[in-house]
Amino acid sequence: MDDMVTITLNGTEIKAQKGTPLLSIAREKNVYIPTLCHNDALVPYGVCRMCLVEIEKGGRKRIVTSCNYPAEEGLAVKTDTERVVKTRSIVMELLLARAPENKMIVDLAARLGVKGGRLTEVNDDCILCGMCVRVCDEVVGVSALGFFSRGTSRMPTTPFAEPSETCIGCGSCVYVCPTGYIKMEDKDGTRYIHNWKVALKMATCKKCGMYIAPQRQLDYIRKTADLPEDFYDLCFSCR
Amino acid sequence: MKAVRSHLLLCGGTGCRASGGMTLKDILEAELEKRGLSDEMKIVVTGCNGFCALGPILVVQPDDVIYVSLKPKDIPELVSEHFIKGRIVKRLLYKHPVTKQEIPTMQQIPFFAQQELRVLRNRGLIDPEKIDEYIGRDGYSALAKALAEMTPDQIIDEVEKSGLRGRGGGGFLTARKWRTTRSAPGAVRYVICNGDEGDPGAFMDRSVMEGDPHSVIEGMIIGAYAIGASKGYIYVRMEYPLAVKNLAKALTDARAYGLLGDNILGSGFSFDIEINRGGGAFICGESSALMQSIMGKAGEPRAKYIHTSEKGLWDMPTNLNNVETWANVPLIINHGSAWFASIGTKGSTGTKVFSLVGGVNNVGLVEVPMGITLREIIYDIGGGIKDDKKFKAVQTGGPSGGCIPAEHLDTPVDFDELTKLGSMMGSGGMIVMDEDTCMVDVARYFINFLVDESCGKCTPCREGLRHFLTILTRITEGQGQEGDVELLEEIGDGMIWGSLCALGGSAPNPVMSTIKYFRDEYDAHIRDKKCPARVCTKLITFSIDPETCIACGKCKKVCPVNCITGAKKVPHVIDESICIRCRACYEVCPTDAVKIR
Repeated sequence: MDDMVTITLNGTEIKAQKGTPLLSIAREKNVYIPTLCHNDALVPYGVCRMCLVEIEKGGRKRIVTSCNYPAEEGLAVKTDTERVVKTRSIVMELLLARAPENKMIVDLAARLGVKGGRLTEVNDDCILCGMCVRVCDEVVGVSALGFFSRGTSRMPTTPFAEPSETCIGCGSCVYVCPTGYIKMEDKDGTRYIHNWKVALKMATCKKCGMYIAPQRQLDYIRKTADLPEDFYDLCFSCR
Repeated sequence: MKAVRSHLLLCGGTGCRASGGMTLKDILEAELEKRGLSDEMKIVVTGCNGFCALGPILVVQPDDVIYVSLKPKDIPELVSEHFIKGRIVKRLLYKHPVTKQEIPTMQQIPFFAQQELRVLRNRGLIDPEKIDEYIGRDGYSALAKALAEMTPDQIIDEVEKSGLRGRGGGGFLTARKWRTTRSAPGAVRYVICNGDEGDPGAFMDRSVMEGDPHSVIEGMIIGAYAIGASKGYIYVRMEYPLAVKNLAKALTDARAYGLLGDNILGSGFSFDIEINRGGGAFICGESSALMQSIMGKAGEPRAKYIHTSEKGLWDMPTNLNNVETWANVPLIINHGSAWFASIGTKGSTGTKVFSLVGGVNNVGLVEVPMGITLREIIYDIGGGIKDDKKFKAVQTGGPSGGCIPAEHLDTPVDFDELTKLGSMMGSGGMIVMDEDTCMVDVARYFINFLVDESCGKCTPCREGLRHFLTILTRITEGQGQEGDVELLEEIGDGMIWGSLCALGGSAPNPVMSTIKYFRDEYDAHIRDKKCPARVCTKLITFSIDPETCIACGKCKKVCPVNCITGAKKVPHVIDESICIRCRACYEVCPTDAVKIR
């Protein structure tokens, strides 16, 4: 058990696997830390800055993101110090000004006791958590998305903001998006992901005629997993 | 062939080139040819002299005479008077701004006299394109000493004893970084030179890379040997074409001399350097973003718990230092750590190069011992404030540095003291501001720069800067509200503690420091809707004092919107409803009759 370390979490001593992100440890112990750019399926990104915690190591206190900070021997972690709460509240207020009408953001702000109204509203439901870009790269492996520009004009998009030629229409980006900013729609045999200007023909079941998924997605999976040509001819019900 | 009796050292820095230095070279060459002096007088195009405001600069050796602000028409007189008859052309010399006396030699000019040239040891003396000239000034002797007489640990020990701290802004102890990189496990180790100098108005590193590229390369080779690195990168921004050209030539020459590449100087140590050109994004000066850029990815910083010394380029142990830091290394090896630490302060040894710009008389590049006071830099070297105006503040450390007021002018300049004042050393930018500067407008200016240059990855930096700009803009436009200053402070606090990288963490400095030292100016804008420095256009009005107006018509002529009326012998009047507050009338009025209120 060489790789176990002892840390304290809000004063309680606990053992944890060395290198485990502090957020995972806290969640296991039912200690609430809010997050907006974290998803267990993705490599921690550490950009929304909601999961800030205070750590003390060798007498030196620091504020770090718990989603990616690894557990190490003797670390004292506090999730609700005045400094943490103050910083997190400002970050929340900044995000609330960015997406003041978004239910998820409004609810989270209410939970954290953060009121809006002081800052000029931006009205952009995308909070730049980057989950869409990351899931497309890390999980799907297609990398159809990236970030355009920098600073306040940064936004997730396809190359040159043109209709994506590589997007397979799987909808993973829609699924992980915490604010519902990415809009997907299946209509008359076509899947639309409006944000990426994508319209993909859906494949139909050769038996019942039901729509299965975008043809490009099925082709991609067949190719990646080396499945037979007729693998997706039938829908799940007709197999 | 006759022996060369005189060397004409013509400054070839970017500043002097911009003011026509290379045209001057052609004319000078032709004139020497015409007078039959080509064999005995040799023109050497050197690196930057630092006194950029007075370019083009020519130093005549061995007479040790410096000519400034030369024009093509001056050349024939210079050649016939000085080079043939041996008489110094007084009207082309530097004139003391106060005594108006001509000063013939560099060492007597106050701007140069108080400087301590270490990093800039070869400035204005050698042709940066000639490796032999660098070697002639002890170049590469430190490398030979390091490889032949010292072990890597001895080198690191020596650098540690010298107290050398990173000149790029962080001020981290160089030797500590080297040691952790050396001991970190990894199949390959890298060293990087950060030459992505992006601060507006800063040109310290450019000057070194252009004017003395071998000093950086020699430092890197010694560092690589100490660390055990086999590959190095110099990351230079695209906007520095001359630096890239001179570095590339220097690398080729060093390779040809066996100073770089396989088996350097027969020591068995192999190391090579590649130049990587950046696209010019400010954020790429941040070490982790810089490495992303070298690896071909978008320049964005990464989480700070990962140490570059352990997982840097391609996850291998990497040591990154700034241009000036590397250029200091050969000196430490040659002269020893005690010599290096003999000047400076306890916590900050050696010298620091600053680009002194803004409202001072002597604008340029200065190298001074650490611990010198701001007052000495601004008044003794910089020659004081232009047009006898009053000093208001000096901004150190680039766009995310802070503004330091007059009451702290006697602060010794070093890493820790500047941080204590709410500013920072940064890479050495120093912008001097006079009484006509509005501090709220200054804060807005730098925040506007940072809004564009933030990578936008993390919330506090991206969104915080956005609201900073909105609030500061409304204050300067007279729309500020009670509570705005407190709101700025709260956002700034969140950015300092919550941002991912040092750019976000230091971005509030211009705002926080101006609030701290110039709170009354914020209040005047917000409460009284007045701009005390009379800068913010929405808060000022222009009028002409009929008593002092001499009806010369000059203001009427320059007004771009024709809002000034008046006739001969009739005092002129500005129509405030049309005036766009461009200040043209104010600048041109010979009797100061135009009043800004």
